[in-house]
Amino acid sequence: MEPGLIEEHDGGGRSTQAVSQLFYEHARRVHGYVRHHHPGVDADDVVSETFVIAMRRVAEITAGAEAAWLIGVARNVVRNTARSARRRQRFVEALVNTRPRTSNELADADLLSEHVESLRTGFGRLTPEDQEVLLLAAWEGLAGRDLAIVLGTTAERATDRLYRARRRLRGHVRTDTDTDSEES
Amino acid sequence: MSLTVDPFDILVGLRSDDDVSALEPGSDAAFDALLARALDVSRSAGHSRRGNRRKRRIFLGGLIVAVSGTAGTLAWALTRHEHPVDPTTISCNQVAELFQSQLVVVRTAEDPVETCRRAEASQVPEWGPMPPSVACLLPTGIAGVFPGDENTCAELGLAVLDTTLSPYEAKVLAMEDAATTEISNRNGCLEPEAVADIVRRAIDSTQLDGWKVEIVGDYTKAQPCGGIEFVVADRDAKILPLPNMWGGP
Repeated sequence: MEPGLIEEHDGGGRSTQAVSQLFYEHARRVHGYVRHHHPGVDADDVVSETFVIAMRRVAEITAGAEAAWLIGVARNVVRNTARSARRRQRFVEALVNTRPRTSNELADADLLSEHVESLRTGFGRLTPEDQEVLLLAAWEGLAGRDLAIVLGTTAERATDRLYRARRRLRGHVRTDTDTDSEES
Repeated sequence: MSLTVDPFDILVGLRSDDDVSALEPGSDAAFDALLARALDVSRSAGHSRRGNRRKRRIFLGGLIVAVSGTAGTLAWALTRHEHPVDPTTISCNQVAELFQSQLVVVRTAEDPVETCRRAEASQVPEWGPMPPSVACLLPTGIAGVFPGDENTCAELGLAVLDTTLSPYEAKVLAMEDAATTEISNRNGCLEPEAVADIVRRAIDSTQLDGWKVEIVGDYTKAQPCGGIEFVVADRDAKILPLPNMWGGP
């Protein structure tokens, strides 16, 4: 599509322009969220539906939290499908499919292979709710208000959920791997 | 082996390094096409909403003539009651709006509003006590429970869910319940063939016709176990690979 075609869709209405700006600012991120957190779901469909909804509700979007709002809508679009109830457990699949970034500092810390495998096993023992909040924080960098917007709760509750999920993850990974060290 | 790094930090290290920066209009044809698609859908949705309203007025007028309009039948005429495409899933919604906070749960023979009431109380207590609610039929073919009454469904452009189970829906729920109960009771990683056998037996015992069971995906050391996904609209039970979440062989 040529730049400028957007204005032809509804005569240059303000919501179309605002959503087009939002789209170019955040579409890659929303698309990445769907691909990485919900493997097996058609990311193009979800992103398209997300911005259809954004068109209707553009006035509700919190300034400064646009990405979180869009990811929250995309999350609900994914969940609102007939198949999604059976796919909830597949956050595990999202993790299994990942490969560490080659440029990451962890590569220098001899943490790949067995530590990552331990993480995957421990992560698999968490509830889908814990898995989701951990991935949103770890992969999307969400915290506080933004995490709350995505999860549809308050910042305090979102922070508490993340804290508890991190603690449970430590417990599961510790059980799987550690026999002689510990900090609480 | 001693793990001295917070596993959360390892999780952060597994994040994709995809480019998620802003796009310039016209710089990526695939994303331009996605935006065009979203805008087209918005435009045609506006047209179809108008069309639906027109159709509803005609429908209502015809019924008033036909039934001479007692209060009860008029209330029925204002709302359509329809069966779900997929009777096995419920979306419990915090507010009477589409695509807001929701909890997706598995449906049983129980009334969907009651299922949501219990699920919300145990899983999302922060939502508070559930107000009087109604079960509608979502565009995706599953039940959606919203605060409100039957008029709420109409306001959302939805039909009211017909909560009576048809003989076919009852069989589907019974089949799903039988299969998932047996798998849960095994409490371990089952090979895909074993899961497929359980599902086939459940299908046979409930006398469901036309259902197929297929094993799909790649079963590897990382994902050796079979999990089920029921695609009710296609009469299909897919056995999908899952990691071993139970430990042991």
